[in-house]
Amino acid sequence: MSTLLEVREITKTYIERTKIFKSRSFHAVKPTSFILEKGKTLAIMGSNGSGKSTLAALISGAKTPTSGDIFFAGERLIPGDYQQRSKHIRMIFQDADASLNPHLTLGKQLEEPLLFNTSLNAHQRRERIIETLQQVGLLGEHMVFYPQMMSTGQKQRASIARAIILKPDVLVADEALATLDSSVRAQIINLLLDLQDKLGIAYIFISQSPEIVKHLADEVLVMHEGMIIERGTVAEVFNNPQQSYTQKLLRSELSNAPSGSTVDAASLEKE
Amino acid sequence: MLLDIRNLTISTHTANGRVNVLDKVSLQVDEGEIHTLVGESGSGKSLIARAIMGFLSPRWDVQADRLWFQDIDLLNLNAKQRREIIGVDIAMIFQDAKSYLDPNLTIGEQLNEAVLDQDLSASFFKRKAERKEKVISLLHRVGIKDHEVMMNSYAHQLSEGAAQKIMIASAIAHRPLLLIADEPTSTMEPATRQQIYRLLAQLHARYGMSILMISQDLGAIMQQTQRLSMIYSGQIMETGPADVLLAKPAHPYTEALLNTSLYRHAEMKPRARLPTLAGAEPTLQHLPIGCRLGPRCQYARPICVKTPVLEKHRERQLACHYPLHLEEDHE
Repeated sequence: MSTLLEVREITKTYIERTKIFKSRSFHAVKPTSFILEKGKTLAIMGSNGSGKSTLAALISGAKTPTSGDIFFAGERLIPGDYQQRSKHIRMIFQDADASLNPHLTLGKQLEEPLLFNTSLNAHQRRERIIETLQQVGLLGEHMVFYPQMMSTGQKQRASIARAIILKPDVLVADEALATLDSSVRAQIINLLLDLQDKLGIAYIFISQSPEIVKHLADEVLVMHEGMIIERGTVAEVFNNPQQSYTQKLLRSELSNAPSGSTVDAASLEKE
Repeated sequence: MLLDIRNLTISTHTANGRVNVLDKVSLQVDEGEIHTLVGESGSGKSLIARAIMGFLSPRWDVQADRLWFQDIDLLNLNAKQRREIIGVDIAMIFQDAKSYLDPNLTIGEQLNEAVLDQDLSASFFKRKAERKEKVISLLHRVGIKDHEVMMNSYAHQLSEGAAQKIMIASAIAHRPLLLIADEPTSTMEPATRQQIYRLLAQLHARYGMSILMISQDLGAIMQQTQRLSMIYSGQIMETGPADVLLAKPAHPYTEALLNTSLYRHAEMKPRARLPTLAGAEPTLQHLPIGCRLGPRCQYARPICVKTPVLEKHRERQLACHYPLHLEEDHE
């Protein structure tokens, strides 16, 4: 049992100033701790607005936590130090179209993380790019392709290539499979499983689909209103869910309130 | 027969000449039927819906042997005649409901517009009150109990599910005979999807409204679906009663999509590799000749470069030279 990633009492609070001296705070993530082991898959489930995407952003460093710490192999990750973090933790997103830069060829996009984070020379960078493209089922020739020349499945493969090119230990996938066609989704699931077997990457999988979680994950966290309300191995949680919220989530029959305004973290942050 | 489409071909000009994006698509929807059209992105399923509604820009060349709604030929309508059918007898809801609502008007104001003058019976001075009453009953019909709050809200205040319910409310304002739903739930979380499906099923049961549902995932279709059509790259592959197709897919494409869907693999071992359809969907510039599934189909043989025609096999129709699992049917 080797602990790879430890999240200790992490929180995220958004403060909305309503009047000059008054403010309202919104606790997107309440104190949360968990441990991820090497080569394992942790799934985070929950409905919209439960704070699971915020938690993913905190782990990957896209957002700064209000309090709490993240330790990687015993070493504290400093918020804002992307060089340190990006070698260990990388992220893939839901929308492959939007996450790739349309102005750069695939080769250039893959070269950028290498330029910023490694001291490889031009030749070594090229070798690494070709090797990574082959790992995700693309070819070295795809280096000269622009994103719009590729299909959705290939784009998602390309964004996985960009994530693993620095040989990270943890990959955070935020709903990375949700919008894919089912035949492409099956291909990507197979690819992620193959990569885990080959490279020993640990995944943090944010998903709402019980089927995908059941198939891919070792452990599950269920989040509701910023708190982890249930945790355990997939078998435990799926066969014997303790909370009624979890039971509903697994049956996919959760009814959300039809009327009124919904407050979610994303809309608060925009303001 | 409510909607009858025969050999609908939609083509467009590209740099490489004329391309048939839809290739001789036939589709029938009966009265009071829920028909689901399943295809992956880029298969042209939304084009069919847009051709029915007449939304397509003039750049698309639409040809069909038949494109009839009841006894009206939808291909030869002028704008005025079209307005009398579209939105009244045929209504449509879309994928991203929020972006189809007006951000400047309250939900109440928008639904006011959806209630047509011809549906009101009261005298001129009582119309406003009657209209409001109709809007409230519409909201109740789509399962929104707190109508006061909802009518005063703006689109950005709604959740995705609520916005889609408003779209449905304005679509059913005139009791349409046919509702076309173009992936209404594909961006929703599973729980909200079930809610919208239940609502549509209720409306179908209560008013006998036909639904043409367009979906991209065979694993997440409405349980109440009666007929199922599979479309791949602009060609209809298989069509028939949903339970027959799901129990015994005869077309390799139906089988492949069923296999890739996790929802049907309840007993599968965790972390097992899924069976997949090799390769990727062809681009418009490089459409294969003949059956467009050919290059990805594991059963393909040389004859597949000839386009198979949609043929009747018992209760289903399919377009394949080498259908699967049909031998047992002919005992």
